[in-house]
Amino acid sequence: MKIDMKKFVPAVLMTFFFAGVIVSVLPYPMAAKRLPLAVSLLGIILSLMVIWEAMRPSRQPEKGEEAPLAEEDVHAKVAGDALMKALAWVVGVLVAVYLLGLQVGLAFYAFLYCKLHGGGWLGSVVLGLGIMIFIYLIFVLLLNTIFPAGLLFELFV
Amino acid sequence: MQGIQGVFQPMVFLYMIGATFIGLVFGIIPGLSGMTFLALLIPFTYGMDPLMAMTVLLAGHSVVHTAGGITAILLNVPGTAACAPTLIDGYPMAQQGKAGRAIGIAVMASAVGGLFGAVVLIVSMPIMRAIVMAFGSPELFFLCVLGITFIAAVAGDSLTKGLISGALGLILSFVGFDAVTATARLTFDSLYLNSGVRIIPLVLGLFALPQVIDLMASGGAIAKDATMIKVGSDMWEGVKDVFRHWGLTLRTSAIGALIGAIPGVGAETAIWIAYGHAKQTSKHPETFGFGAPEGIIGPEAANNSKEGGALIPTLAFGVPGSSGMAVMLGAFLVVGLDPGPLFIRDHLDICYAMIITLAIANVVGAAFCLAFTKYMAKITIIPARILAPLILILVVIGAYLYKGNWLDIVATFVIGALGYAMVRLSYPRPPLIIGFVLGALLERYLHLSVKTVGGLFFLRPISLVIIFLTILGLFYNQISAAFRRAK
Repeated sequence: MKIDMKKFVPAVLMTFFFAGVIVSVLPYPMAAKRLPLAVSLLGIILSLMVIWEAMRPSRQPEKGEEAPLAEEDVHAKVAGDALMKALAWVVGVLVAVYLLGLQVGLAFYAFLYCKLHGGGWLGSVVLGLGIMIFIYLIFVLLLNTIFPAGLLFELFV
Repeated sequence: MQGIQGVFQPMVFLYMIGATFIGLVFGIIPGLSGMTFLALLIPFTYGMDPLMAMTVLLAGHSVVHTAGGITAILLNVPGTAACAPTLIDGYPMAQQGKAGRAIGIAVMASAVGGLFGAVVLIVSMPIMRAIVMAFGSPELFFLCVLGITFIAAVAGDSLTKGLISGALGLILSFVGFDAVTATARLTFDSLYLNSGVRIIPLVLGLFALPQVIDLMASGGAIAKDATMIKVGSDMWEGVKDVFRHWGLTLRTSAIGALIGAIPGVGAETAIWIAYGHAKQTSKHPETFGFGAPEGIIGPEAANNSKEGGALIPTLAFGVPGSSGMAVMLGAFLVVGLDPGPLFIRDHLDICYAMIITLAIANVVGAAFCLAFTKYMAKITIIPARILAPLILILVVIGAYLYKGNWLDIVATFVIGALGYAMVRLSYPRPPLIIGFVLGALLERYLHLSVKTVGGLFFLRPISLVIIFLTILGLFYNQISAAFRRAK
């Protein structure tokens, strides 16, 4: 029996998730737990349906069964190295902000990203500086926002 | 009147114009949609006056498709998915050296369609208000259920996945202190979770971060260089084309508004029906696909008028008329407005402000496009190595700005991982956000219904009708497929 793992694994995880919610809400008063219980039970039933769909032979959707309301975003089907690098860069911004603070971290991140993706030195520096100035003018001066300094600044400055 | 006057206050008007321009920029760049616009701008509306916030968000969102047609015509790539039919006749027209005329048609048809949508909305407000006043807690409870199930049924390829997504959104809405019993639910003794999952990290993580990941992974730019962007000087000829075909313009605007008003029946349905109607009623249907002006007028008028139509169920019943409206309901929460069915009763001034905003934004957006198309089109040359980090930076700042809490940034990225996983595994995201937004209301109306009417509150006549519509909505795909087979 061929199992569609792309459907099967997430559905199993969802089943455990909803079961976990049921276990968590059981001690609560009735008024607090009735809707979470109902929704979680429904979630388990739906997840089991997806598991069942994943385990039976695949059926092509008939014409007209496609979603009439597609999401507006159009996502490219990217995978492999390109995706891993993109994910790493996205996580990298968190690291940059945690270590260097929002203002410096974001500016440095923009500079580094642009430089390592084919941008020239001048363009990358201008981008980084531009972002730092933009954040300072709009958020610090105009909106009086206080941004965290970053771990490295707190330790050494 | 208060709402209408509010829109014309200098600061509100200025912000609206600025948001319109930003919306056009989002529309012209493929991969950045109206939902991404809303997701990125919602954090910056926190703390704003509700009227100003709604004006800003709606102004930008309603003109995204106006600019999306420009990229479709010039580069054969739709700026937004709703502009896909525009390239069928728009790009061939551009290849014939009539890009300016095609753009003039697209922009003016969008403006007329948008205005039509606003008129439909203003005419329907008193009727909707009267209907909503007749609803009690049981009816409002089932309306919330209807909203979630409609979006779940049509927002993706699988009904079950859509409902799972909606259920997940509901569970997320239960995190934090329960309003009725003050019980801390699903907080796991975390101080951060005591105040519940926050709407801004949720919206940013679900909609903006997956977009950024996509942009970073795919790289490049849409237009390789400026020589690909050639706009001629015959734009006004295109504007006149729309008025030469005024009957078609009005009919396709009506199609967009009508279909937009039906929750869950989305953008693609409206624009393709409009395109089909334009072809069927044309004296020269054989020219379609080779640069027929009607082939641009139809979909462009419909994809702007549908925004006005989509606002009808959104404002009147708290049932989003489109995926974008589902995110807009999240914005209501951010500015302290109750997004449910009683919005039209309690915030009629904001409703009318939104209608006027819709009208003004479409006119201003069209004027911007007509005046600055040559320069706006150059935005498509911006490479991903500049665009991607800029958007990511806006996401981080937006997440932090909400409450000044570093954990909101972390939450955004955690939810972003969930959002990206949902995209890759084909679980639709709009049902999650609508489940989250309507979850608190659902619980409140359930509690009130049980207290005031008793356990059999679902047996009230209007409630039964709504339950019937919910079941109809759940099996919409199967029913429409069966009708097609029968034909």
